[in-house]
Amino acid sequence: MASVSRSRRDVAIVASAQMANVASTTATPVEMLVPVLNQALVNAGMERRDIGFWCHGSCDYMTGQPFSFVMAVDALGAWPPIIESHVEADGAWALYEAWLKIQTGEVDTALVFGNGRSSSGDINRTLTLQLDPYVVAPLWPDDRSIAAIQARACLESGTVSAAAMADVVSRSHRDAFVEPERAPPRFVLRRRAAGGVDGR
Amino acid sequence: MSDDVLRIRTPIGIHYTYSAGPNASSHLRGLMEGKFIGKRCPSCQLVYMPPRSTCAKCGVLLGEDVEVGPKGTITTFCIVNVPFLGQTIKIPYVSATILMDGADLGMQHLIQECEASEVRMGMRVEPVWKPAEEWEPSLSNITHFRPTGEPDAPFESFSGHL
Repeated sequence: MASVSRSRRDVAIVASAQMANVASTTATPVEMLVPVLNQALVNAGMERRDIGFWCHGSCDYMTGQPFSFVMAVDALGAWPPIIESHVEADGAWALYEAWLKIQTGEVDTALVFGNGRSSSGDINRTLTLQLDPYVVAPLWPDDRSIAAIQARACLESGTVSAAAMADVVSRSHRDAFVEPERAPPRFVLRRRAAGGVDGR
Repeated sequence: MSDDVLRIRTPIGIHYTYSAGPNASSHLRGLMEGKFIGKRCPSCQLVYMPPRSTCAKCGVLLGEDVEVGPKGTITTFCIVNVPFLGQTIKIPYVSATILMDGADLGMQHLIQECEASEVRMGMRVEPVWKPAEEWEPSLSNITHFRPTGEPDAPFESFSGHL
């Protein structure tokens, strides 16, 4: 157990793994997670018992099942008992919690994972439900609409130019062909749907 | 002031398509044939019934199919005496955790065809199936479990599965 220190601890990501993007699957979220977690551990040269803290990001609306994150613990092998947490958010927010946990000195290692199976529902409709926790009612614009509002605000304030935005889209399309694991899934799936082959 | 909006209704609906996944699917297909199909953990050998995706203890995907039951043993139970909205069974009735023969984890089901006061830990029970033409891939193919009349299972035989 590390001692608590006033100074900030350096934290590094030492390995990662990602499931191949697919348009849909009949595997359960837990069945999707196990191989990816195993791969991440292999890539890090670690075993389950080496992990001090497990931190999970997912959204029940995506899965369509209340408390689906509790079921996800099935993928971890929680015996003997483990220290784990879940955020109703994405993997990046889970990473932040893990970083904080490491800063407390309580743990030295963490395995952070984010998952979702958007094909269970209509993703554009599902994402609208994540927008306003204060009104507790959906405002109904979907992620593309929000992105468009943000883009318009950026353009009008001069923060970003239309050309710079086009560059990002162009790069994502290119990555979807040559480095699908780096490209936004939407671009990869669109390319595969059009009959494109990985690596070309 | 009386014209202020104090409350609004915001109905939300999303349709989902569930898939049971390969592990639960073999169990559900088994129920269509009148069988109880569990799954064995390849790591610790525990037999899950009903099966789930992984062994929660080891975090590994469950492996081979294992037919269990059809008889089982009541490990714990609860007598329901409280009426509630939507209740379909006459009270008092018994909900029990049943350890199917050959399985390592209990599953929940109803105990009927005996007085609630007769139900006890270790009681041997068997399933009562609906007519086969009404079967669907669901545990509801079994209307309830009833006592077999066999001698009770000794406590030691299920004490590790509570």
